[in-house]
Amino acid sequence: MDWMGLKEEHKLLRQDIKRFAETELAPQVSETDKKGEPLIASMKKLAEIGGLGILISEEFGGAGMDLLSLVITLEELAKVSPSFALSVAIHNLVGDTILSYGSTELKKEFLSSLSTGKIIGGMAVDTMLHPVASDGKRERLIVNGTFSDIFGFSMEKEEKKQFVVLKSDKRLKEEKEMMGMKSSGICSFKPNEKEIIERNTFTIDSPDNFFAKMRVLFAGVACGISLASFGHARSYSKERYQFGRPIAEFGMVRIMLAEMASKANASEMLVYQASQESDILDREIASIFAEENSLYVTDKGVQIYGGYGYIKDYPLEMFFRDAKVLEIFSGSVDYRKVLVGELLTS
Amino acid sequence: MKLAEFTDKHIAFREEVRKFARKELLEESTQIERKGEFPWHIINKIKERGWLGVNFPEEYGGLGLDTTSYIILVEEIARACASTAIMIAAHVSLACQPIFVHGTEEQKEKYLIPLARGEKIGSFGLTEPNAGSDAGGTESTAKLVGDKWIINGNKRFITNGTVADVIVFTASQDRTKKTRGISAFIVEKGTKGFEPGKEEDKLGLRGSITSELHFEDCELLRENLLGKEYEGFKVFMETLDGGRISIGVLALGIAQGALDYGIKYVREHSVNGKPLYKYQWVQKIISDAATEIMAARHLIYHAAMLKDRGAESVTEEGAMAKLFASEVSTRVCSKIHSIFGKDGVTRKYPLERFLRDTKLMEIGEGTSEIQRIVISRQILGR
Repeated sequence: MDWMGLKEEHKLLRQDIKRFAETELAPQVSETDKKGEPLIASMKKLAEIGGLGILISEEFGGAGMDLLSLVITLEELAKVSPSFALSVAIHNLVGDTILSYGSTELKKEFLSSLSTGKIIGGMAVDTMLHPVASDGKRERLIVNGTFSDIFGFSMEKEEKKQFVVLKSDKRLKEEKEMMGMKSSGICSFKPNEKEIIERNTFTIDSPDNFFAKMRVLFAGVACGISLASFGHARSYSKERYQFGRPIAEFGMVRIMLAEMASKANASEMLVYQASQESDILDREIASIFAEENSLYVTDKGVQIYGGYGYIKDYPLEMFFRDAKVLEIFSGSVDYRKVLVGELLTS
Repeated sequence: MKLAEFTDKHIAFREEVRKFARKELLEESTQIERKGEFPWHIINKIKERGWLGVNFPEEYGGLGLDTTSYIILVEEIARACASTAIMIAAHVSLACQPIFVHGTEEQKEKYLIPLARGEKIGSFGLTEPNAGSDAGGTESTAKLVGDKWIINGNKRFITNGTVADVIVFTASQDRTKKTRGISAFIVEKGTKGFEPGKEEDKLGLRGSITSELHFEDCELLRENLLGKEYEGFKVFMETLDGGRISIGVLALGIAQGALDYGIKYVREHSVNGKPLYKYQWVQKIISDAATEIMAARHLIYHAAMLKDRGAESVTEEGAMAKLFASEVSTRVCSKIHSIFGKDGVTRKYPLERFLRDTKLMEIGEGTSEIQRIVISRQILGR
């Protein structure tokens, strides 16, 4: 959507990323999603146009752009490959976290390598919102784990949120049967208190800000998924003839498309606005809204395609799965609603 | 739960199927999905119990049970493995049923008996690349040349397509007559000019076969016509009417399965130190799911029992049952899946598979939109 908050630089960035997604990602998406292969070479190519260090200051080789720029980048990437967008989101977030909270040594060691794509960063995305079994043991899910050089995860220590950065090693077990986000190189990992050495660890002073920012990025991915599902469904409805006319002429199809457009556009606006303001509540609300609506939109996307929406020849079923997995990373939408309710009334 | 009108026989049968599903199918279901092959070993066990002809008279190789029993069968199987359930539903509702209703005695002898006994697998070739919701837009052709039918055309999204021995299908004798030009036929695997085609790579139901069928100057004998000439549309509309309840109950079974897992999970897991089941947001999901499932259950078994009591048609009730149950199931599976958090994104638990499996129930055998049109026509007329 054209929004008054978008500056010229945002519009140009969108064009660049859109072109990248269509030329570099589109030809590979279907096969790599089926096989669960990450698009590592494409990540390196994205680095060449500055896509891997969007929030990193120019001092450290980054693009020095704002959060909205990263959200737009993720949105455009997600329209073609939500998995790839998720990988890029996480990689950027690792760098941004080190930039925001890390020591000078860590910044010197990692930031410019991350910005140039010389090294790839992974990160655990589960939070305290995830269920644990009665034995309390927690296995973490690391995005980009199969191909990252370093990865980060957060831990509670002495009531402070600590962020740990480690070199990737073989303890990262590939999750080969992911429901969705199959090209994001997701691994499981069991953290061991002993390896957290002081040098690699720093405190996240404002964990609420940290998580809200992460959720806004995921919400950007959700917007891309919604807009793409809607776009595909709209085109298809004009081309698919049944009963002697395009299905776009049927009232029930028109209703679905209108609902999809409303939800996708409204999500985008909320997420853009939340990217500009640093209000935690706005970000949490935008995240819930965008993700919940992406479930609806991708469901209808499959529905409009009918039998064709159920097969891997078309991307609708991938968007359906990816949206669902994405929802889970930030924690169940319904639980987050409770937390927002708490924020609203405290 | 005890549905108000289940007989003791129904309850006993349900117990039997449930035991089988728990013992033989539940753990197998992950493998069945992984392999993506027809689960012969399971189907053979189901066939041995006579369940592939559960609701057909014994004289035709069946068990002689009623529609309600068949619906119970599909539900209990679906709770463990939707792929197996849809294979059964297609075989019974879409292949056996039209032969039972419209077949000659010779056809019933030749096809229905082995199908009901499970000696042969059945399939229903209706859908085509350009005839989905517009099932009457059949482009496949049937031409009577001397004493033989010559069939040409392609079918798509056919359950059991590559493994079926007996396929009931539609083809048009006169495309200018549109739906009134369609006739129904029976073809056997191995017939010259008939070949199953590519198997689909699907979102869900990955343990079931969904494939193309190709007819190229396929020659069939006159007696392969099912029902009267030009009455194929009627044959398949009736068949779909009956099939709706089985798809609806399939969705219900999946939803019930998801609920069962969800209840166990929220008792055994905590978030932020508090057991999941103590949170209101969880209680809301579980109670909404249980309520909607109960409502769907009543709609479905109501339609099944109407049929058993001799209702001539259950068009409206069947469509309502399928529409409601399938949409409820997608909603329930999605919501309960969310509770599992990251335990839901891998195959550690079957919740993600339930969601992928159930989505098809809103599409196959008439999309929800078509069901709405069917229902509104019953209420408002054309």
